[in-house]
Amino acid sequence: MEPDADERLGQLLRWKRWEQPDAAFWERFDATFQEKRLRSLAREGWGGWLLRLLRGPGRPALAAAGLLCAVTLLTLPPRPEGIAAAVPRETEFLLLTQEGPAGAVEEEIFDEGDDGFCYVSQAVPWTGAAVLSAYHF
Amino acid sequence: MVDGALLSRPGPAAEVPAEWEDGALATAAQAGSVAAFDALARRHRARLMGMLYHLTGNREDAADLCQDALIRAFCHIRSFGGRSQFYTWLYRIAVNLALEQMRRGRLRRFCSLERLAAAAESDGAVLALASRLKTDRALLMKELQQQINGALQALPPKQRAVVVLAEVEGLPAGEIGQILGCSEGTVRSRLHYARERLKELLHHYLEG
Repeated sequence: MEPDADERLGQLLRWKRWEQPDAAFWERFDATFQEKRLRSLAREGWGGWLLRLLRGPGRPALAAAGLLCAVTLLTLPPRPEGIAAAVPRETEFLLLTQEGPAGAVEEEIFDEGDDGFCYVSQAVPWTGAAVLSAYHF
Repeated sequence: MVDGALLSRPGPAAEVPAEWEDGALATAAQAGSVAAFDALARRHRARLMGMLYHLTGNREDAADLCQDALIRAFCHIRSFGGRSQFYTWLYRIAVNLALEQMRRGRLRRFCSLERLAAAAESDGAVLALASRLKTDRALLMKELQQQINGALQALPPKQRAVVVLAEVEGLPAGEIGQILGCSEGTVRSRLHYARERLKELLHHYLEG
C-alpha cells in the first residue's frame, strides 16, 4: 500500500537527519566553545566566584572559619603595654633552671610586673636565640 | 565550582569513566568537575546542534546557539534537579535561547545549509521520490534540502519547534511539552497545524 501524504511528509522530515557537520567542524566548535566559556567566567569576575563559593558545598566550612575569626578577634586579650620595654639589655634576674632533656630551654624568670604579667625570656642553648613570653597570673 | 582543568586545552575526560550515565555525570559536574560537564557536552552536542540547525535553518546560528546553550547549562548546572532527563533540560535551555533570539530578530535571515552525509543519497525516501519524479538523485537532494528547510522556516517559530522535536528528533509529545513548557494537548495541536501547512508547501513531493 502506497504511503499517504502524512507518511511521506514524515519520511522527508526524517531525511533531514542526514544533515550533519563533519569532524573539522567539531574541532573548531570545541575550540570556540572553550574560549567562550573562559570569557564568560572572566566576565563573572571575583564577585561571581565569591558568590559561587558562598553557594557551594564549602559554605559551612567558610561560615565556620568566619565565625572563628570573629570570636578570636573579639576575645583576644589586650596586648600588655610596655612588653617591648620589658627586655632591657642588661638586667639582674633570678635564674631558675630545671633539670630536663639535653637541649631543653632554660627557663629564666625575667620580671614580675605590677600589671600581673610574668615576662619570661627563654634562651635556647647553642643558638643564641631567645623567646620572650608574657604570662598572666 | 571550576577546578584547574578549565585552564587546560580540552582533551579526553580521562578522570570521568566513559560508562557513566548522564545522571552521574551531572552530579559530578554539580560538585565541580569540569571534565564531567565536558563529557556530557560531548555526548549531547551533535543532537543539540542538529536540533538547533533544523530550528534556525542556518548552520552558523545553530553553532553559536549550541555553544551559548552549553555555556548557560555549565553556569547553571546546579539548577538541574534531576526531575527530567539531562538532555531534556539541555534542550529546554537551547530551544528557549533560540526562540528568544528569533523574537529579538538576532538571527541571520537566510538559510545556510548543512552538509549532507553520503548515506542521504540512498535513503528510502529519496530513492522513492527520485523514481516517482523521474529525476536525478543528486539534483533532487539539493533541491529537497532547500525546499524542506524553506518550508520549515515559513512556519511560526513555536510550530517549527514542535515539528523539529517530534518529526526530526523523534521525541514523544510528553517530552516535547517538558522542553517547550506546554501541555501535550498544545504540542499535538501545534503539530497538527504545522503538518497541514507543510503539506501545502511541499505538496509537489508528497503527491502519489
